[in-house]
Amino acid sequence: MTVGHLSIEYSERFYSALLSLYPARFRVRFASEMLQLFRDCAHDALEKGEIAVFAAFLVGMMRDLLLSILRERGKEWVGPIDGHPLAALIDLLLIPTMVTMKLVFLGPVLTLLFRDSTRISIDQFMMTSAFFSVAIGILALVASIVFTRLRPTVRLWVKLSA
Amino acid sequence: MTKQAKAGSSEKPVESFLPLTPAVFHILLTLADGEAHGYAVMQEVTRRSGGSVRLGPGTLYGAISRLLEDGIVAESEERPDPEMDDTRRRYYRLTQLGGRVLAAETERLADLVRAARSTKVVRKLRPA
Repeated sequence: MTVGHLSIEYSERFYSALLSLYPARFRVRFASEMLQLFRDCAHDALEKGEIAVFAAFLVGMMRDLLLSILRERGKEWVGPIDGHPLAALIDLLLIPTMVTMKLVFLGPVLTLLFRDSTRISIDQFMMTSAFFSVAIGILALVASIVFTRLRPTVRLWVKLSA
Repeated sequence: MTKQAKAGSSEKPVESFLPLTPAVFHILLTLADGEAHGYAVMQEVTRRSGGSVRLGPGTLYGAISRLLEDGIVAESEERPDPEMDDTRRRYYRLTQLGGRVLAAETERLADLVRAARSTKVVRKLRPA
């Protein structure tokens, strides 16, 4: 087995692993085709014989893949579901809960992590407002997970009832 | 015509799909010449655009996913010439709605070019 073949095999494995980051709906439909396309393009790039061409090809593929994952994830999370009122309500609740979770959670968690350097014990921490921030953050986290999981179900329900 | 294509054609007017992105426009142009699989679409788009539009698998299948949902393209049920066929691949074709969308976008772009060419500045700077 040549170095070229090994490069393709390992890059293919890596690409295949990254495909699992797509939303399930997209992954089930297109992952095998995308992997086949990656394989074809990798062979094309390797045929040109230069390692720099193959490296540039890999960088381009990773950039395309990551941007595409963000797009598809974004569509899954915050895209409208056929303008259905229930879906609109979920979207309305989802975005504030995610933002709340990120904003409220981050500060207290960092405080907890670095409490040795700030000399705050757990007991002292529980008496501070940061503790309530953590509680709100956890609630927001749970809510955002519930809303995220609820979206595909609502999408399916809207499609079936249409 | 597939169920998706029918749904798309009965629900939305052609203008609601415009403007198309350069990538989608090139994909539709490629499929207007006949059905093709992802690799063929990718190569043809690069050739047709002179290398200015390069589609990665993520961009290509993201676009195809939306085009399938809108009924602008459909998965081809008929396989091409068996000798040329690759059973691992899926082939895509332009639907009737897709043809109308492509024609409308071409007309829109032609109007834009006509409007731009009618301005003095563009006429003056036009290469000989």
